[in-house]
Amino acid sequence: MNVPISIKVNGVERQAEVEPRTLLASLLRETLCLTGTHIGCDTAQCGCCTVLVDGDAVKSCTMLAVQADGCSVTTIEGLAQGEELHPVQKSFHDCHALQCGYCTPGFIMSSVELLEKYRDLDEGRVRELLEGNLCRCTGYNNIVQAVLSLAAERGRT
Amino acid sequence: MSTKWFGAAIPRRQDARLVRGEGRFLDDIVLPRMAHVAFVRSLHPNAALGAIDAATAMQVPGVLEVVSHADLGEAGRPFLQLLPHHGLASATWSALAPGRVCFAGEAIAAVAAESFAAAQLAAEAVAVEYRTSAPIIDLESAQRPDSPLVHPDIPRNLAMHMVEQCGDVEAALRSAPHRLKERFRITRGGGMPLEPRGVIADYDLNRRELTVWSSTQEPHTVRNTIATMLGLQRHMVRVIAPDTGGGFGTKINVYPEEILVPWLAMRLGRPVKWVETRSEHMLSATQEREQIHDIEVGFDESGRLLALKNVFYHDMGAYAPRGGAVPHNTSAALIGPYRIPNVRSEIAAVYTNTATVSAYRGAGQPQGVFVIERAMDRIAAHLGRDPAEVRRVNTILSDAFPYDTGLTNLLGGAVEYESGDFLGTLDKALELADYAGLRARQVEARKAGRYFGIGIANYVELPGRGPWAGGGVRVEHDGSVPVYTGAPSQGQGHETTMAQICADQLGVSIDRIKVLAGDTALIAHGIGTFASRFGVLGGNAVRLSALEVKEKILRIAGEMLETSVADLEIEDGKVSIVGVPDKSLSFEAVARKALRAAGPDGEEPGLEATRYFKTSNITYSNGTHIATVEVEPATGQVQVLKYFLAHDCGRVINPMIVEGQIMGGIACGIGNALLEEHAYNSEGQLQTGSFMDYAMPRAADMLEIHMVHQETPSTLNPLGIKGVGEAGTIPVPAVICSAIEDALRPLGVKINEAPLPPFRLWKLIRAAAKAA
Ligand code: FES
Ligand code: FES
Repeated sequence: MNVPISIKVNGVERQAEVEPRTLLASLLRETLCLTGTHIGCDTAQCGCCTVLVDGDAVKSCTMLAVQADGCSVTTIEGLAQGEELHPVQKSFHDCHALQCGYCTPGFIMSSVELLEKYRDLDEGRVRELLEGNLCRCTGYNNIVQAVLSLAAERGRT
Repeated sequence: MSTKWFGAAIPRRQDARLVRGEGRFLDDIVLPRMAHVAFVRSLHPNAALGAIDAATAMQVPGVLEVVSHADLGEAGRPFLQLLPHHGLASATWSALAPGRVCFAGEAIAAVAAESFAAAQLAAEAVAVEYRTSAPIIDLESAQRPDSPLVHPDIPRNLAMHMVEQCGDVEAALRSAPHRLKERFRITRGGGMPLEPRGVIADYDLNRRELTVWSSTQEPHTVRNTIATMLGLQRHMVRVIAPDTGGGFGTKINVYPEEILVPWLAMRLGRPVKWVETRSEHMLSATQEREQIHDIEVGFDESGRLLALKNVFYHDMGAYAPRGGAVPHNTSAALIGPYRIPNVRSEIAAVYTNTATVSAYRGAGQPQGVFVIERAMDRIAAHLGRDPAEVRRVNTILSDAFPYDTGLTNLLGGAVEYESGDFLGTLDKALELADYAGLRARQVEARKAGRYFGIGIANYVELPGRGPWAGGGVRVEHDGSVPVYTGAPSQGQGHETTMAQICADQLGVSIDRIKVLAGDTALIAHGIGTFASRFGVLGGNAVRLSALEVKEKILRIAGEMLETSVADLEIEDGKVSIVGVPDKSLSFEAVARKALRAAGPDGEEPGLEATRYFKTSNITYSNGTHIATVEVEPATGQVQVLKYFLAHDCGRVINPMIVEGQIMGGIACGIGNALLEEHAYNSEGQLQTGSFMDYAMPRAADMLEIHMVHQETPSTLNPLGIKGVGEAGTIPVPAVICSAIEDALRPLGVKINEAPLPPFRLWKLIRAAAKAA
């Protein structure tokens, strides 16, 4: 029995009829064709699937689509303004914070959230706050750098 | 030729897409009428298969087909051996298990259905009859005459027995002033690319053409294997590797699923997709590293090695898709940067009822380096000398190159270091770390009762594996320059580095260049991306093609400008007469001329070349890593404090990318040193079946890294590149364990194994305390 839901995704109201067991990740990837949200595990460990739900970073493989009914969801596709990259996207590029790019959308979404929520970020804190995301390529240091450089910029302004 | 691009830290060109979430990974591909596949995987590690009953499974709504080995016919025969080592008792896998299973997780049957959910549900409903036997899991007992057999036709489970030697080890050991014997053990881990494996196949019934997308490091090998196994001609099969989320060796082999999915697509007459779950990956993707080494070294008062004898067991797991490549690499890596006149290295590689072992970043080399570097520390301790000094007296000097170690590599060539400055990296690393300062700090720390240790490890990497790689270059009518190669990137950044090489060689801005890879339709032959090989071989192939195209551009431009080629120069996509810059031709104009019927006499149309670069031997990179740690003896917790390294991978194409490769490699190595272990229980069941149990480094496990580059060009290729993909990982278990042992020296703890998660180290600390 399908359930009707209504979710604002990247600023656009979307309606869908979903099976109750459908994960938010599947809704995004399969129904809405937003394939930038990736799946890397089946135990909520890798963070490749991280999106923002009402501003909170959420592993979309751990949430049912019906739970997101009435929420506002931002995915990696919703960050750039046309040609212009979101500052976090740009910082990842500038700092060489990605290699294969599979973990990248999840890391960027987590980073957007933590830059939004936390004021005094130092290196140790950023490493701790990125605990929910795995990257096998970069060794993390450039990712941490990408976040810290934005935090520093913010401190200056 | 000016080198405007080569050597520069050019930002990566593929990033813009990836940071926007516009990558196109395998699971992002959806074809009309696509069916989905789930596998029935063995619950037992060693069993003969009886009846496979799919009646209930076929009742699940949406199920299209359930197949087992009996349905496959010719497509079910074992794969060909890719690296038929001399003396190898080869066992290769089949598309589905042929009557018996050799590890828990082996695919027994496949279900195709309208949705993945239906396929999964039905797979669970397939009933399999097993006649189980005791499994053999333990590496050491696998060779005993009474051991259970993994493959009934392979006695004592012995896959390969090989001896490599130079000099006379026994005599040298007898006469050596000092001797030490040790046993070292390294356990299993996995590459763990964050994108799981996956395959999509689509068969065009009318044209009889098969298109396969696979998350693979080797699209051409996949194509060739599919053609062989399914009885198709190679040119009727096209294999595409889309954006791939990491490989690290885990995606080099042609897996059973890469035959089964295309076979199903042909049988069903519709596209078929399979993407593995992470749990499936843990059970069935290849793993690596398990070895036990018994070594004996003989040395003099100064610590100079006179003889090295090593007998080691290597765990092959269930099958050997690439012969004995991994243990052979271990043997070749054993010598490192040291002069050792007498060496004997004996490999006993055995099959066990565990997931197949094949290359993972470093492919046998971290183990070899672990062994020799642990030995160096023991020699130093035995003689009461500084570990850096003992390494120094053994290091091959710069005037000794090319240096033949006396051993052979896995391709049968000599392990001959073509060039290098091994003392250079040692000195640079010691200086970067302020080694003397660190030792002084250690004295202070010890006084304060803290367990602060300094580790050091050298390595020689075997990258640039031959025999060849190809790369093509074309200049289009609009002046754009596609570069196409046979080897896809799984994050290495070929899109940028190959463009840098082409831009310099052709004399054009990098902005005009687009690198295309990972599609067998682009180039006839390819070997793939692994063994840190593609920068070396692909880079030089692209150079050859670019130079050929450039010559043609000059010839045609010479005719157009009515001047001799010797008077022409190329810069930034323009050909001009030397000294007359305003008389110039754009690449566009030359390309259009080359395509017109009225093009120059004797010239074939177009500006295009596809060349292959063949190397005479493997290149050798090297380096020195130094780490400091602090250990908490009450818990066995290790904190890695700082990390320093000096490395030499020949000429550096892009320092930013090289540093990225090294940092990522170090993270993998930290996993091997402290965290990661694939554990099987004695019943042959994997205990680490998810990311909950298999601990990989996270951001907080990484640390400050300081590095310096040294550039000693390779003499084996015109660009002087040596390769770097695995260099970050190879010495890390050695250097971290060196530091831990150094930290715990006051407690007399010896580190002979890796990894060392807190519990294991705590047990060693306790055992040492009891013994004291
Ligand atoms: S897919 Fe791994 S945490 Fe969601
Ligand atoms: S960039 Fe490949 S997993 Fe992070």
